[in-house]
Amino acid sequence: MEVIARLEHVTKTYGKVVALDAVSLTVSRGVTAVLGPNGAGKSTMIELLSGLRRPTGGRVEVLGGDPGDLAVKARIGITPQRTALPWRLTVAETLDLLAAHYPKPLTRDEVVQRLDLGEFLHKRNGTLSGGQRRRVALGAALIGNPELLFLDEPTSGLDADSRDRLWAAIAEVSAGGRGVLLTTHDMAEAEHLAGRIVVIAGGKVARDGSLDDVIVEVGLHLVDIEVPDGTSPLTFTTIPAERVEQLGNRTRIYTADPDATVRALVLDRVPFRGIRVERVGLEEAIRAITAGDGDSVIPVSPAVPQLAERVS
Amino acid sequence: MRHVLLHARAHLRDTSRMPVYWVPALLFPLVFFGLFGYTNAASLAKIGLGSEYVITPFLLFTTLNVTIVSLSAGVAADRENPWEQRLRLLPLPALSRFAGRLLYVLGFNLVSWIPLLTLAVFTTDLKLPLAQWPVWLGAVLLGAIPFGLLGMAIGYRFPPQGAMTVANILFMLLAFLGGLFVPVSQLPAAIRDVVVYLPTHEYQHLVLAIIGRADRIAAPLWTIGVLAAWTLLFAWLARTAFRRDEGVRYG
Repeated sequence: MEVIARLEHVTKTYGKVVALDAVSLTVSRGVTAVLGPNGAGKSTMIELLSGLRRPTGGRVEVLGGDPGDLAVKARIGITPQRTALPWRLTVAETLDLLAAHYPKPLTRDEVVQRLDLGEFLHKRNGTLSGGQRRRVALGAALIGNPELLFLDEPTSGLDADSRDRLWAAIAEVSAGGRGVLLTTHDMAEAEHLAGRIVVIAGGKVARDGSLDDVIVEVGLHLVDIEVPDGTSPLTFTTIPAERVEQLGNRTRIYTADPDATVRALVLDRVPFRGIRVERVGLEEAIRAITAGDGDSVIPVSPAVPQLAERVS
Repeated sequence: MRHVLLHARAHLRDTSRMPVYWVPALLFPLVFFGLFGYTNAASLAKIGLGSEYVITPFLLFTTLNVTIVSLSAGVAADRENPWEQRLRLLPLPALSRFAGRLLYVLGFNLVSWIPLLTLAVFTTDLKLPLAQWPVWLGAVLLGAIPFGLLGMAIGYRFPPQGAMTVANILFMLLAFLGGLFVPVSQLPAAIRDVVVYLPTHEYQHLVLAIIGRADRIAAPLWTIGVLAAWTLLFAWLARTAFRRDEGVRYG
């Protein structure tokens, strides 16, 4: 597969904080989703690839050149995490201003149609709703007809309709043979759009592969049991589990060895009346991979813990 | 050049939709002239001198206010704005964006003069021949370029509140020492000796000399040389401040 951007042993530090730690990664055509908790280094990666920042160490190459080169900038598009629009200019004025900087831009009408911007085309950006602004921001990224698109949490805070519309536009861009690198906290977004998942944790690439690859590699399963109401407290002995959640009379056990977990539940005579065993989805897989990193820390013990919880 | 014009136009559009910015910028020189300049113009008329001697310092004062204070505050505020970051990702050299901003400020100056000049034409003894108007105003505009660079240097070096304070101090100091408030002859002797090195003093001299109203005889090369030297210095300061900001913000 053709590589259109690459990071080679890239390190980025802010003072004593290491945002990216010797990261090597290639980006190909199609949609690549970069996932990870807040502070994992996702936005930094986009800022380095878009030429907004320079790496502390290593090498960044985009479309065969340095991302800071004007010739490279002319071939990429970006929506930063913070919506960046001139509040007192209209949508039309904004798109026209940006289009004038690119050698082969899309027409304003093409962008307006693709993102359904017509109804507020002549309104000032500052008067638009959050969802409308996000659509305009994506339009601002597309107007230059980029070969490679960087989207930093493009649908964050949007309602379902606006989100679906943006997803459709992103999918259309990708189907046209362009590369799209997006960061997101929305697993449904990654599942819906991305052919490839890159998980960043602690400034390093923790996983890189297809959606199925990432989930299978993590190898985490959910054992979901339901106990009858009024069941007297039970004492677990040794249960293989990575994490346990209790929701009323249901207990969700995340485990790397579902057979052993179920066997232990039976041996412990846990009086469950229903049990469901399944491979976890992307969200749980990412939690497991990024545990201990960033702001959303979910502790996962690699060892088999003693479970002291009781089902009430 | 096309991109410079595009960015200048975008800034002008933006400003035109912000009355809180442009209304004071237009009214301030009018009020100031009404309070302090009008009586001086009337006095000059009594002794047969044209009002251009009085109006020129007010015109320069207006121009410096927009060019140093407003520009630096605008640049400092925009640095915090994500849109500025977005513009930085355009395939466009930073110099083109600077030039666009400078052109916008010069254009906005033209607008800011309208109330003052209208008042002056209808209420004072302004005796400038029609042919001299473009030369006179052109000199005011071109002479503002070094101060625009100073405004940018301040805007890139200081945060918004700090930029406003520093710009106001420098603006007032330069205006006072340059003889825009009181004639240089009324300043202390020690100051009189150095004012010929100041950009504001030579700016005023250039604008008056070009319409034959200079109050001293100076070689044109001196005036142009002083202004060119300050232009280079302010350009260097603006570039240094920009690079420093780039390092802090995007390094």
